[in-house]
Amino acid sequence: MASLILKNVKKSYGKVKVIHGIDLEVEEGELIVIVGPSGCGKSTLLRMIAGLENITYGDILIDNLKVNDKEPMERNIAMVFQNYALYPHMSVFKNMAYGLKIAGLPKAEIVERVRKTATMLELDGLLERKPRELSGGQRQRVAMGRAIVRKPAVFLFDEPLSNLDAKLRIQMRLEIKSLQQRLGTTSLFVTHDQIEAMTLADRMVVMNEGVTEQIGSPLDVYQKPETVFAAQFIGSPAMNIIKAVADKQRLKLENGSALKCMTQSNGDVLVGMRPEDLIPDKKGEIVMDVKLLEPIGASTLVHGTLKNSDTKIVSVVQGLLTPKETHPEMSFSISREAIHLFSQDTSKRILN
Amino acid sequence: MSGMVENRGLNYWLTHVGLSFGVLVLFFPLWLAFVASTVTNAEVIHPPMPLWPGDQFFVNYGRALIEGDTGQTSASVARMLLNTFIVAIGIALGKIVISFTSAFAIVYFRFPARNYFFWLIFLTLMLPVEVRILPTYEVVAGFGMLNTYSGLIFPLIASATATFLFRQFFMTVPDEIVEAARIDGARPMRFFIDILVPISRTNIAALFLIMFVYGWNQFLWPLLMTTDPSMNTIIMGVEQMIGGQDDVTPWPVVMAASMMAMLPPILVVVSMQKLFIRGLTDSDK
Amino acid sequence: MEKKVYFKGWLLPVLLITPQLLITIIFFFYPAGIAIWWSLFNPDPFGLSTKYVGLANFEFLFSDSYYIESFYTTAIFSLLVTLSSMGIALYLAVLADRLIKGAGIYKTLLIWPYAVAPAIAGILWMFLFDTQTGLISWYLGLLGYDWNHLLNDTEAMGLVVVASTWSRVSYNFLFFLAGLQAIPRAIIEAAAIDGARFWRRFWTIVFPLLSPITFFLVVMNIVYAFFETFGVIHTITSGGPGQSTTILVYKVYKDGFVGLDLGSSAAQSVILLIIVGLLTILQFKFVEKKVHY
Repeated sequence: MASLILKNVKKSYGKVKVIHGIDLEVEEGELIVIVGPSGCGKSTLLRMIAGLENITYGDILIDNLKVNDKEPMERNIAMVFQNYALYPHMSVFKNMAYGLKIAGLPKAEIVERVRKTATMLELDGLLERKPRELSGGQRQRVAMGRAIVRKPAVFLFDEPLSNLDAKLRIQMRLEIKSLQQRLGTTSLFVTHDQIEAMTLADRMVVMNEGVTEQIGSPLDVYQKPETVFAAQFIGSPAMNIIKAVADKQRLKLENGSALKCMTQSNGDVLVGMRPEDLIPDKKGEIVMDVKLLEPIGASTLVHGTLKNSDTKIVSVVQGLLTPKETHPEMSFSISREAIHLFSQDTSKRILN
Repeated sequence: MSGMVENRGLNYWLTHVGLSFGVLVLFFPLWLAFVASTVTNAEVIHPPMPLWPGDQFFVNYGRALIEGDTGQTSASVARMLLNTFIVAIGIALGKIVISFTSAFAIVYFRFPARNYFFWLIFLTLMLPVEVRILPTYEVVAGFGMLNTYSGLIFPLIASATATFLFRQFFMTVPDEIVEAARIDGARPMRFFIDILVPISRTNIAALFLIMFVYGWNQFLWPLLMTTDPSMNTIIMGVEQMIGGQDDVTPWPVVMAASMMAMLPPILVVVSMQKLFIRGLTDSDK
Repeated sequence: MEKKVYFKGWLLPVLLITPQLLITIIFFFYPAGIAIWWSLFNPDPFGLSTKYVGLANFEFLFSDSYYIESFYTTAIFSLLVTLSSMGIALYLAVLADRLIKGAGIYKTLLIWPYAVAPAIAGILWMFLFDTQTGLISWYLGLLGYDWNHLLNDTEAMGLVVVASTWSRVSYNFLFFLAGLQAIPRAIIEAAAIDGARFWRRFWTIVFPLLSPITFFLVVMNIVYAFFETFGVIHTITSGGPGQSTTILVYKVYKDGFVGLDLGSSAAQSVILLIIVGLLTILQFKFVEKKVHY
């Protein structure tokens, strides 16, 4: 039973279309991450589900109830904001209790729920403090506590980790994941960070300019990206995309080299190769003019251009490399399974 | 600027001298007024008057409080202080209540002709009561509100300056707090009471102080519209104690009354200094 | 005016804005309208007759030497009060800003005159210069100078300017001090390292950075001199001797309330309304840049 359904949801501001028709079915207990670059419409989408923005077209159903025209509080949702949005003049306890107080819950139950949630989030000693006396991470947890205490049908997270420093972000990521699994509440998490998306999501929605590029599990999106955008957005460093002409036996790359590759396609294609799939091979067909090496500890990023062309490519090679090994050029080969083919016209995946 | 080498030594002392001189010049008239309020009529009438307080403190202040002006028909200072207090509080409270609620309406709702209201407010921003003094008298008289507290108060809260100030403040309140409140289930008035008012505490307090002083110090309007001396306010009342060219002004009593007229607002300003200054400089810009 | 988030519904906001609206209409716009009506219809003070006179009141005013004189008087008065109260305040603020400690004490000692009503300021200074009993006029007499602001135009103007300035210095001081303290120390220090000594720093860096506040204060002081000084003038000179201290707002009062010429007084009010309106627009265009519609 799907607990959240989006049917052809569209949004325009006047004449400007920002969301072009999104369909999504979220199963109960799933953690869906909506990921995409700034301006792709992910926050707008989240806010439409929350009821903070109007829907121009389409339907949103929560627990099978159409909520298009309902106020946020009638939708049984809770939201965690990027800037936490804690009430500055109220204590942590009051912040978390506010929604319950309005809902008219008996005082004893409010106290119990808040206390339990506070313990879950390790906020026990802080209940009487004001937000300004808390650290960023603590405020983050109070914001989550406020959402958890309401026991909603859906959690909505609007880039909640963006304001935290890197180390805290990683820690909170794990906490959110384990918390969500423990509570089993359906959750929508918006972020622009593809690593967050990969680690948190049961399924991802990759968005770009108001449309969904792909919906699938992180592994699916990583291994079988359906569009060039999805292919390049997920995975770091980004996938290399090279123009080529296919005939059934080979791919003739734009720089002239030929890659042995059995394929059903004919004609112009885009070849996608992940940096980590390029294996150094003295006899490899893919030759790079190496421009820069970036040692990052256990591996090295090799930056350069495809020989005889201007197309930039990157490779990730295990171990530390010396300039001698890599200059002036380096050759790579790639296994057949690691080659992704996309249509040059539609940027969509071509089934091999 | 402080801490730099050139601020030591001679410059340091010159700075203090300059500031102290300024302080003295400001205090001088006040000091003399105080001295005058503690001496006898005779000592004042024959200059030079003494520069140090005398022993008539209780006599003069008592006379002012109880009898007011001995010559003309004027109310006692005690009565006038009461009137002024009521008017000042009325103006401060009244202004805050009506402007806070209307600023809330303008910022957090969309309703037809909303923009017209904003312009309406804009128009009243800097036109003080003195510009419309006589027609206002006409209007207030027409309502039978002459010689009443409401007549003293209403025209002075009619300009929408405070609405504008609160509006500016509300614009700085993060949107997300309102959204969080909506998601928590707060309806508009709940949000107003539970969140907006507490967040605005400092602004409200600062504005209260400023409006209290403003209301207390009103001169022209009370002068015009109170024909019954028992409704006089202290500032205009003190002025009326001063005789014309021919009458002899009872300076000690007048000065005692002046001191009492000045004291409440001075106390307010000095004791709530930080809040007051914040209210002036933050909001007036 | 655009905040992204708002509440639905229109009844509640209309209810909330009604008190303000009612009071503003009844006690602001309605009287303003009456002023315009009176200026065009010249009622007699006893309400017995009115007749349309068009712009006759205005035409009369602009050909009336007394009114023109009042314009000049107001201009000079405002100029003097603005310059002196701002100049002195700036000087004191610059001094106070130099102090590491003690600025707070001086602030307290310099802020209190703001709380004194202009009318009372008038009384205090009139007392000092009273022709018979005033301390300062007596000392001047000893030095051979016969002070009488009730007879001498210049002395009268001088006295009201002094009283008005005395009353206003603390207001300007507070703003200037706040402005000075808002200038990042790093800029001053950079200038010092660049070799600029105090006064050079002041005129080339500090003063330009203060210009928004300065502009704001100029407008506010002009409005103050136009209107709030009524109390000062009424207590010290009642506009005299003759007309020498009759500023525009005082003339509105005298002609209307004392002289009972409602039409002329109303016309004068309208003219003042226009002047202040222009000042307000000026203020907003150049100072309040953060107002969005």
